Amino acid sequence: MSRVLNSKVLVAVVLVLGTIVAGKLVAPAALPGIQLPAEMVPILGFRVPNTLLHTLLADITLLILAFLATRNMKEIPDGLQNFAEWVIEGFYGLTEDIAGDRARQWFPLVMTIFLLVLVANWWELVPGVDSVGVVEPPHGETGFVLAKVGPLYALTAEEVKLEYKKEGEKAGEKAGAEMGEGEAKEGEGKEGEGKEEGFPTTEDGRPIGVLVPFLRASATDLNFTLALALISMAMVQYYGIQALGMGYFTKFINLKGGAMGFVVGLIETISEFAKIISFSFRLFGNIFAGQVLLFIMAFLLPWLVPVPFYGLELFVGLIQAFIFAVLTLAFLANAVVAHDDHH
Amino acid sequence: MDLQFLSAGLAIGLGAIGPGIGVGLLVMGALQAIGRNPEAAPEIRTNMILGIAFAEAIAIYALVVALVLKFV
Repeated sequence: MSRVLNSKVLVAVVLVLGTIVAGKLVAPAALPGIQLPAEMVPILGFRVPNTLLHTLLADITLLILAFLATRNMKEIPDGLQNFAEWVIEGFYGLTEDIAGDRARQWFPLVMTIFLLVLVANWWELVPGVDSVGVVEPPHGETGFVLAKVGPLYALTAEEVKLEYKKEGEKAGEKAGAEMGEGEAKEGEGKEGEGKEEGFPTTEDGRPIGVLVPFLRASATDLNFTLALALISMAMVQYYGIQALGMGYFTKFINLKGGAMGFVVGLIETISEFAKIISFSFRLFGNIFAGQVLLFIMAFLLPWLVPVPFYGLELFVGLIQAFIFAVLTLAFLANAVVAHDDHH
Repeated sequence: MDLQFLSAGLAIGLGAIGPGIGVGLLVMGALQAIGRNPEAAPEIRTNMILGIAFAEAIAIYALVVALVLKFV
């Protein structure tokens, strides 16, 4: 017992626990607003969904990486070109395993899906995403007291229930409440469209608002995942028809196998639609739940505790991108095989 | 107490039982396979991850239902 409980271990444990407890007391954080649809942010006069901005960010990142990796290409690669070649060759090997001789045909589609989903998932973990945005008057019943940090507003951890209509005109200047800091996803805001006077206020004149982030992980928007799922399944049908001609549809309308064959065909049809739903909800559920998990963890215990969950989200983002791509590949490989007669 | 919270909790709680057992069975199979044939471990691992994603997707459906119940 004394070997395990020596003073070094004890000190380390006390330090860790103390940090965790101190985080909750010293730096409480506001819980970011969680809602299923993407929030609209005002950008350059338009109202744009914040997941769209995030998708654009992922696109630009991929383009920049591609540009940087392929300029001044050397015979013996090094640096970013080396890394890019490693990733592409690794995935191409896997594609060849599953797809055989059609790997070259399907690789661009599958690799694009993988890279886009991966970059979009991993951008969610960068500080600033989901925490920097526009501060607006509360949309629902509750809001957070705002503290003014220079020209910006920050959400404090004090949650206030609105008891009266949003008619308060006085914007309180007193930065009294505690500010959320540290590893918590702190809400910082910019003034939106001259709303200086437009916040409802607490009884002592401090403004109340909520944060609408500029960026929110693309895969938390069902539109993004559904679009990818539709593209995947549409390409599966396309390659199936390209390989088998109109005979591809005998998989769904099977008139040769008797009544049993017909029912199997019906099930296959339903299964194709179920795959679309399954694709979109798998990615959506994983990333949305991960986002909610990170928010809640940062809200409950701001210091040290969210770190393993960040690691989990890193892993989940990678795995979900991989799964989406490999599943598309598997369905593609399945679709071009002639409908065998097992019976 | 709002039924909304209760239903969300039940949705994910009961919905995670099946996939939990499923993932356990999957990994058991994978571990046994690796035990028999350690050289094939990378290939077995890849297929195991694939299978786990399928099983976990069911749990994710339950989670999405729970989230919809709570936040919509």
